[in-house]
This record gives sequence, structure tokens and C-alpha cells, in this order.
Amino acid sequence: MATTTTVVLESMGKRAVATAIARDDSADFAEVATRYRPQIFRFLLASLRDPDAAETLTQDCLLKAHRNWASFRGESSVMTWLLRIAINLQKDHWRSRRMQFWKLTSNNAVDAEDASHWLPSGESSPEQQALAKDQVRVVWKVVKGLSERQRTVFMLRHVEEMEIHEIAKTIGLSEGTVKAHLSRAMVRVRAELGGRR
Amino acid sequence: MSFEEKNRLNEDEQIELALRSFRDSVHAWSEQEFSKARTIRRSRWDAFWRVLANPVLGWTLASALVVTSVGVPVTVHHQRELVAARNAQMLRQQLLEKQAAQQEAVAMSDDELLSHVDSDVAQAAPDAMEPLASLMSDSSSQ
Repeated sequence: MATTTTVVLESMGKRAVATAIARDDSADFAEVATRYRPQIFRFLLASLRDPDAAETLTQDCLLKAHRNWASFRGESSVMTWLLRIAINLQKDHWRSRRMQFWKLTSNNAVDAEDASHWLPSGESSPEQQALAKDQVRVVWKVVKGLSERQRTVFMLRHVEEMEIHEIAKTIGLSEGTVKAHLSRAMVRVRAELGGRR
Repeated sequence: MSFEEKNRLNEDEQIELALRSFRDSVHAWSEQEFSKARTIRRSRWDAFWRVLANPVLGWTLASALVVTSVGVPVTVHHQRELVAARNAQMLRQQLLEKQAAQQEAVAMSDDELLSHVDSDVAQAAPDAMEPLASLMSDSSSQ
């Protein structure tokens, strides 16, 4: 039964799945969790650069979503809803980290330099790999210097490949504001990359 | 196409390529990390902060703090005033008792003085005046 449902969900579009799941009260939340967990984890990992924190917040996000599953009306897509929860949890995480400045907390965040080592094992040449690694390192450097909101917008746009209106809906900002944040982030990326050539 | 336009296009391509590499890198890293078995570790402090993050509990604790910080000094001040009033009353009482005792002592000494004066002034009548003295005592008794 679960396999059949997964196949059906995979064959449907994101929005269609959201509507279908939202309308079917008996839909199993486990299907939603299985489907969207990697994406939530990826977004949180890219935002926090801490795999353990990303895993913990992913679990918290799904737990919170499960508790509020009955109240989800399908006005937005499931992914938008889940990412909104994840973003709020991420905010709380940063806030609690700021509040705990007086005590030594274990920080497992991976350095931007190390994060740039991850590249898909493609068929590109060693030179291209080296160039790509260098570019990724520069982008990470820029991302590190962005404000929390700019970073969130940047990640949603360039890692999750979301549309501007989807980002606006997820973060709860106007499309104009999202564009402004994105533009500012891109100016910095352009300056860093342009300055290197 | 001018040189500047070409340059601009080239730059855009480079940025596009860099962003694609970044996306691929994050996806590869995420897939690698996601496939790892990981236990969710939470320290006791994490649980503590998580509980504190609850707004209802936060407001309750804040209210308790305000009530305590205002109530305790007010109570202590009130207690001190009560003790001071009690002490003042006791002192007043002691003073009154002392004054009464002094007055009583003064009253007793007056009686003693009168009897002393009386005994000093009083003299035995000479033998020759004894009948007159008895006569005076008889007339005073009548």
C-alpha cells in the first residue's frame, strides 16, 4: 500500500501532491516525511553547515508538521509549508545560539573551506574540478557573509531552485523584497567572482 | 556585439557556472550526509533551553520573577516596619512602667519624710506639764 502511494506521489507534480494530500485526511504523514525529508535536510545543511544540527532540526520540523498536520489546509504546497517551519526552527536555533554566547557550546559547523570540497563525481577533467572547487569556495565565502535573511533567500533560489513567488510565500515577504535580497546577494557573488578574474 | 557586451556575457556565464557548481556541491554533500546513520544528540542543556523557549513557560517565569523581585522587598520592608513598631511600643510601655515606679517611689519617700519630721518635731512633755498635756488630749478626744 505504502509503495503504491509513493509511486503515485512520485508521478504527480509537487503542487498536485500537496493538494491531493491536503484533501485526503487519511493520507499517511509518513509518505510526506519520506518524500520531503531529504530536501528539508539539504536546505538546513546548506544554511547551518552543521550536519548534526541539520538532522536535529529536520526531525523537529517533521515532528512539528505532524502535530499540525490536521490544521494544514493545502493553501500552499506541502514543501512551502514544511520549509516555512524549517526556517522558523532555524531562526530559533540561531537565536538560542546567540543567547548561549556565554557558555561553550559544541559547534559542529563545517568550515566553508571544507564544504567546498564536496563536488559530484562527474566526468569533468581535474582542471575543471579544481576550477569548480575554487568557484564553490568563493560562493561559500559570500554566503557566509550574508545576513540570515539574504542567506535564506539565496539558498532557496540557488540550491532549492525555487521561484521568486514561492520564496516570497515561504518566507512571508513580498516578491519585491525577495528580489532585493537576492539582488544584494548576487552583487556580492559577482564582485567576488569578478574580482578574481 | 561589442567587447563590453561579450565581456558581460562571459561574466554571466561564469557566475551561472559557479552557482551551478555550488548547487551540485551542496546536493552532493547533502546526499552524502543524509545517507550517514546519525543519532540525534541532545544535551541536557538543549532540553533546558528548549523548555525555556516555550512562550507560556517564559511568560510564567518572567511574571514570577517580577512578582518575586517586587514582592520580596515589599514584604521585607513591611516586616521591618512591624518589628520597629512593636519595639517602639515595648519601649513606650517600659518607659511608662519606669515612670510609674518612680512616682510610687517618690510618693513613699514623702510619707517617710513626714513621719521623720513628725518624729523630730515631737517632744516629750515635761513632768510639770503632764496634767495639761493629758487635759489637751482629753479635750481633743472629745
